[in-house]
Amino acid sequence: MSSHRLRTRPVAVVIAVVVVAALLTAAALRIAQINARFPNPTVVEYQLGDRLVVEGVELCFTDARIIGYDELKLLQPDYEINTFDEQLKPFDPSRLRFIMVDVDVRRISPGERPFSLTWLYAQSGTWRNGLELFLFESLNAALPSSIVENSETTHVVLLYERVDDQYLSRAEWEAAEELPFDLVANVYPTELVIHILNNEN
Amino acid sequence: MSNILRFELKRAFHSRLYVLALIIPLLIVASHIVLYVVPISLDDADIIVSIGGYPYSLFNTWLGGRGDILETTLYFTLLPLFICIPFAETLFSDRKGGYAKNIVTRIPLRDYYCAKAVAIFLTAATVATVPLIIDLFLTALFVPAVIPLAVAGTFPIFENSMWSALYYSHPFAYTACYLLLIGIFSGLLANLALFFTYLVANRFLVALAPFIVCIFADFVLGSLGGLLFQFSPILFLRPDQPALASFGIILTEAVILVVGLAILLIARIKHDETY
Repeated sequence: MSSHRLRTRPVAVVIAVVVVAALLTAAALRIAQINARFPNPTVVEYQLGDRLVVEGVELCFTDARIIGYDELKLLQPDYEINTFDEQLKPFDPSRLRFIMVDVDVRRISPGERPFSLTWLYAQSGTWRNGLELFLFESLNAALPSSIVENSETTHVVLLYERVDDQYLSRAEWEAAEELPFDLVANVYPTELVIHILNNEN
Repeated sequence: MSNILRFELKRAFHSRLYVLALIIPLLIVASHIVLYVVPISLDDADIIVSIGGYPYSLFNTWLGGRGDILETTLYFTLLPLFICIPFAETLFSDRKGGYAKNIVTRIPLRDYYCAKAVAIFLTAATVATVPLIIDLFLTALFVPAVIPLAVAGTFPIFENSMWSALYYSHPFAYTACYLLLIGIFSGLLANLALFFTYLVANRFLVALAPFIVCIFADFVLGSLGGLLFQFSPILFLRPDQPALASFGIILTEAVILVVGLAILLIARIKHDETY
């Protein structure tokens, strides 16, 4: 190898290292910048009975329990199962359970965002489900978005459906009723968590 | 053993086919970044948040986290093909070309076969995972790594998905574990070509064989219905888990591949030493 190439080879390596280091530094700064703009949500936790205000709406969750289809029919005799299996048949009632939550709602100020009770999801571990809208409108005689506009306190019942095929097995589904359940609202950059069932705190 | 292993690894990683095998998935990565990630990053995420939405996250935007785009389906469907391009058929071509006869006069046959299997494994593992790592890095330049939130409804992992708790609590750890899984299983899958070295008479068929097996299995298992599609590598190697992966099934298939490969190598060593 010529002496010229022997002299320029280390220089080329140094230049390459400097360029790569500069690119990695720029990338790191870019990643830091973008993550600073959209950080992880701040989790704010509440218990049953606590009052919280979300987008100008005051909520107080007073009670929560898990009920079966038979109890639901007593509350809502007109209810027919509208969840279907893979064969497009309505689910057997024994495969359904409902999380029932009582909440007092009142608007106290205008909010920055148009809050609706549909923002509240039931969650346990990685299981989650949204509000059962048909039952909500039947039981409360109003839409979730309109309830939150009342300036007087309104008592509302929220219902969330639990189906056994959302779990790996029937046994796991039944055992999951002993686990903690929460209502969760994504109000980014905040995550509201209301502990409603089986919470040890 | 170390000499032949070093030699086979150098042969594998310094070949043009290895470079080609990396370029093809990198083209898919480039398409994903240019056609999907960059436009998303130009969307005003503040508007999404203002109406109660959750920001786009790295974990449901990168190639392994988004199941409803062409690039993801293309990458994981073609994965069994491009992991075999670099080195999977070299045992066949070595035997046909007389190179194998030459080399085994100098080193134990066992060392040659083992070095071959290791080289195939490592080239396949790197071809499968390096483009994904590059995609993850490039996506991170445009999309924040906001932690997945189940109630946001925009993340692909559900209650009965494999490692769902890990995904929602430590998504980077989930991604790292899945990349490791993809690398290991891809390495084992590429070694499936060794079986076909002794079954077919064409080197291209040897390299294509694992891909054909995976496509056929995916079609048959999907057609049979039920939960049988969980056995398809094309589906369970996807981090977005369109088929609710099961670690037990993946482990069973990996063990079958390892045991099968070991039996094949032992049998061939005994047969070839005799003759």
